[in-house]
Amino acid sequence: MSRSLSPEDRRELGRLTKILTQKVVQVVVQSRLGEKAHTRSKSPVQGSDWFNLGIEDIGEIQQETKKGLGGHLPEKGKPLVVEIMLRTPTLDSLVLELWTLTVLDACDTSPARINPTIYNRMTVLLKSLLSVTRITPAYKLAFRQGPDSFIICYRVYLGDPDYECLDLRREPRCMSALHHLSSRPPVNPTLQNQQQQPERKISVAFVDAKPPKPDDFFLPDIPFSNLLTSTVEVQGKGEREAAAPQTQEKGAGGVATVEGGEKVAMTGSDGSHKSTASAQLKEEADFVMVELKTPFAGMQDAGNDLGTFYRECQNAPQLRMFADTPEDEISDLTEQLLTFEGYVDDYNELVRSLHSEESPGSSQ
Amino acid sequence: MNANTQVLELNVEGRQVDEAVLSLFHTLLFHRSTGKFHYKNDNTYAVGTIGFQDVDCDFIDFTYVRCSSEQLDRSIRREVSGFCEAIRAPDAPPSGQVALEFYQRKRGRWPFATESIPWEVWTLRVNVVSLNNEHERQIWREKVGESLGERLLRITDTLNRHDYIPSPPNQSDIDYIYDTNYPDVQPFLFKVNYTVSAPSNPSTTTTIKKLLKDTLAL
Repeated sequence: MSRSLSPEDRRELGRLTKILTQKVVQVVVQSRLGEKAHTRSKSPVQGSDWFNLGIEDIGEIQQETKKGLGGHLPEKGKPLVVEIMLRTPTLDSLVLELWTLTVLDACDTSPARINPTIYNRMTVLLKSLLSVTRITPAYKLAFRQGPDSFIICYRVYLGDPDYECLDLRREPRCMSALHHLSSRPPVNPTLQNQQQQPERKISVAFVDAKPPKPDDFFLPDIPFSNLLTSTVEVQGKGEREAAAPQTQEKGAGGVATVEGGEKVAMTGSDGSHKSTASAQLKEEADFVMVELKTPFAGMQDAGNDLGTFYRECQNAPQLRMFADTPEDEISDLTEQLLTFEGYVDDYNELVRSLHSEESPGSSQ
Repeated sequence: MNANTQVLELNVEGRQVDEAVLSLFHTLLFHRSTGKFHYKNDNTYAVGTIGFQDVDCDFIDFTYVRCSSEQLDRSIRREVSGFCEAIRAPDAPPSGQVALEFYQRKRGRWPFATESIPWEVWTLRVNVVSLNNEHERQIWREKVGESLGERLLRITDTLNRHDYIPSPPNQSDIDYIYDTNYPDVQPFLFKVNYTVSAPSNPSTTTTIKKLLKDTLAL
């Protein structure tokens, strides 16, 4: 059974939601400072803290939160977003995580009261948030911050989170849904986290010249057979090159074209770089054998490679027995044959004498 | 009353058992503890603050949050160490289970004594794996970290579903709900119990069942 909130309850709920919002930002941002948290437990006589948790507010974060909220609270369709991003000394940036506190349009019929029930549930939510912020890759990354490598920045705002800047292969994780008794308007704050793939953020952040766009990170998958038979054209505009190792050496605006093995041209912005592969292709004009780094061919066991085998067969070396035979040995054989021919009559006489000696025996 | 029972499975190396179990039990205790109660009268009280701290594991690539209470840490370590020693013993079977049970006490009617009623039980099934070299250990260190992260998410999912939790008691009944022996925090009453046993072999059981079925079918 649902009932509407009294004005007093509504006011109390708004107050708690405001404090929760501030604490959520504090917990998330403080966990990305690259410092180990350690706060002391206190008895009630030493003073009380919101949600009975030793979350020490940092003034600067509080100011940014107030600025981001602009005097409003998260509401349906307008969640609180804490964006965690990485920034390099060259001002390249990459969004690592989006933490959202969302108000959903759903209603719970459990007889939950604002205080202490909702208050206690918010406490559990903050404890979960403290625990979960430690298990994402950005937590570890935060400890590697430095002025020469990268720093981690944050942004707080109300509104739709920009999921396009993240890798959408990972589903957002909903951490908690707080329900309370209400018929109009129902408020279910839920906390979600969505994060970037860790391997992507490392590879892109230090190469890219502009803020990357996920759609342009990787080249489309090209079947290997296409590399040998048809024309493959790769056109990069800075951002694409950052993620494609084969185009990195060309500089901005490079175009690489590989045509059926007969013609290989690489035109960079400066036009001065040629790949080593292109030189090999020109030498073997009649057929192209691209050395693929197949996963089953070990790096150190190059003798098994099909390309190497083919080339060895094509340029087969001379047989060793001919290569090692000395010329004077051949001339000796000729002289020996001539000598034997000179004694032909003697050999014939010998054969005849043997035949005559055997004749009486054969007649017996 | 049926206790909310959850079972989590862990595959860890012998030296990782302590940290794996402690990281999850400390996370649970962090959620299932409050600040100290300070009663003004029998049913009005003020609540203290729980401090918290990050703990890095030595043998697992994992960091967890626990209550800032050295006594609570010592207590849970002592409880868990019995299990860890038993499962790491030279002739011990390679698996066992350790449970963290939250319970409340109820006054029994004369002549019965007070009874303990569990309301939430978390069981960790631990399988000990053996690795051959340092390279495998490095990989396993990360794998177990990821696995603990998944388990921790399941714990937070469950704890935020708001199942039964004992109501805050009057001052006279506080020891029936909370453990008030700690000077800085106040966890719900809890206990740890464990068993170390040889794993059952489901494939053998299945084979025997199949043989019996086939025989009967003939």
